[in-house]
Amino acid sequence: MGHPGRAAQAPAVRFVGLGLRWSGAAAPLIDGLDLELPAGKVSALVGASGCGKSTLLRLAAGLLAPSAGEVRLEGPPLGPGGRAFVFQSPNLLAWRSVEDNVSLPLQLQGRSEPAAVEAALSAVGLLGARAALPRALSGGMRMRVSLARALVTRPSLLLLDEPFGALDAITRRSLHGVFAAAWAERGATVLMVTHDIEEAVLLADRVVVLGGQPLSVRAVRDIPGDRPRPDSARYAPAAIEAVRALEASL
Amino acid sequence: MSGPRARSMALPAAVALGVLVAWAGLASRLPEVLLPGPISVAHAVVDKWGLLWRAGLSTAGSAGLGLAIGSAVGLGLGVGFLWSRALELAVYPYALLLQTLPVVAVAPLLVVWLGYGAPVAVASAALVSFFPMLTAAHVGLLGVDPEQVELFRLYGASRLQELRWLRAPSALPAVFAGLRTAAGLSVIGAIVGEFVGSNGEPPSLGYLVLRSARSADTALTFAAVIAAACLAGVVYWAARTAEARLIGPWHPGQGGGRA
Repeated sequence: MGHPGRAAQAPAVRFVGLGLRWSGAAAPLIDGLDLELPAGKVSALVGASGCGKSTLLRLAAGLLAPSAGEVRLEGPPLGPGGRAFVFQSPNLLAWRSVEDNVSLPLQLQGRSEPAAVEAALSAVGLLGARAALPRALSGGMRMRVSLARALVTRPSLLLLDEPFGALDAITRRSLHGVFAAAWAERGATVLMVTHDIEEAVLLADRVVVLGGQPLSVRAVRDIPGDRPRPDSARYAPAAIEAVRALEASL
Repeated sequence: MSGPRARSMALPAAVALGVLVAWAGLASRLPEVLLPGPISVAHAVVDKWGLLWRAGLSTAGSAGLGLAIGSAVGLGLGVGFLWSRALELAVYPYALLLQTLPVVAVAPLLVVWLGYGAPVAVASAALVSFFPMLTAAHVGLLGVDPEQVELFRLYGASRLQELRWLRAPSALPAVFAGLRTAAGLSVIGAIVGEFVGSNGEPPSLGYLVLRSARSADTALTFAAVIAAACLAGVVYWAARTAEARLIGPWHPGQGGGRA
């Protein structure tokens, strides 16, 4: 079974003088943020809860419009399936089978590509459960369906909002493997929000520590080494040192 | 037969038996015209079976057509409210007001507008079933998980795609809850319409109740009331069955949530 194919040329994401103020709020949530996230790499955004990191992800997805500045995607323009978002909860449609949930993004664009659905299901190891309804699946399996749904359009920009946050430690580790293997082949630009620095160091090429309020960049650290990294890489001295240094900047 | 299943049939059966015995006991002490016993009512059902059947079909037709019209308008307006906040602001208060009007008070007006006959029963059934369906559609279509809406918007879904593939299926549990209420009400609405606006052609349950009570044929009144209750039961069962078929496999509310 082949993988769903490499993404089209992936964009770099640049936040330029970005500002966001909720209507009626006394202070802005984001005020003049500048940040660059490299093309074709996995960037992890970590920070205390409520600092605005998920909001930053929604701005990058175009689900929110900034009140000042801009989000620049530097690269070829993205089509409707060019970006994908994985929410913290799987957000599957309860009335659709696993397969029909995964094919939804294609269907919304009037496309029917059984081979792409097959490949996405295979990438997350769910070919055997394609006919099941979401209520028959475990939490970890639902999350995998949600990852497959994000993969199916071969996005060149992938945004993940604490996708492993609600899972137990064992399921989380097995999904790290799925994630790492699936995206190693694709070369998409990945932005992943997490509150787990160890997870960030294991999965990402660049870790950005964010603080609030307003949202600011406290530390940026590039993590050397090829991906996917084996789970044991989290115990390497360099990884432990990186986690310590990043934790100190939180 | 398993224990809980047997219990779910035995308990209502015991209540029915108790009611029948108490009814027969009470009826034996009262004149027939005040309270006919179960046996007299059973005789009336058998003797007037043809008439009751035709009347039941006519009332069922009025209730069903009224329910269909009320549901179509209620659901359509629910979609209108979803797509236009201005329409919602302009019309919803009047829809609420309409709900507070007793159908008994409106039915004579319907006779003035529509004349005597089945259309009054249809209109009155439509009026009472409209509101539960509007409320159900309104709550169901708006009560979608905002992240699922974001997902659809991310992929550039059109309003129609969002309605068809997200909001409509997601609203089904609420719509079916509304349908169960509306289905029961539509039978009541039809009978009220028949009380006020039926000329006996075709015979209907409402007309039969009224005419038999006036001519002191209390056993036939009872028979017609029982037929109306059976009709409401059948309508409710049909709504429930459709619900179980359509959303049962995926909706956790189906199959009981008692601990």
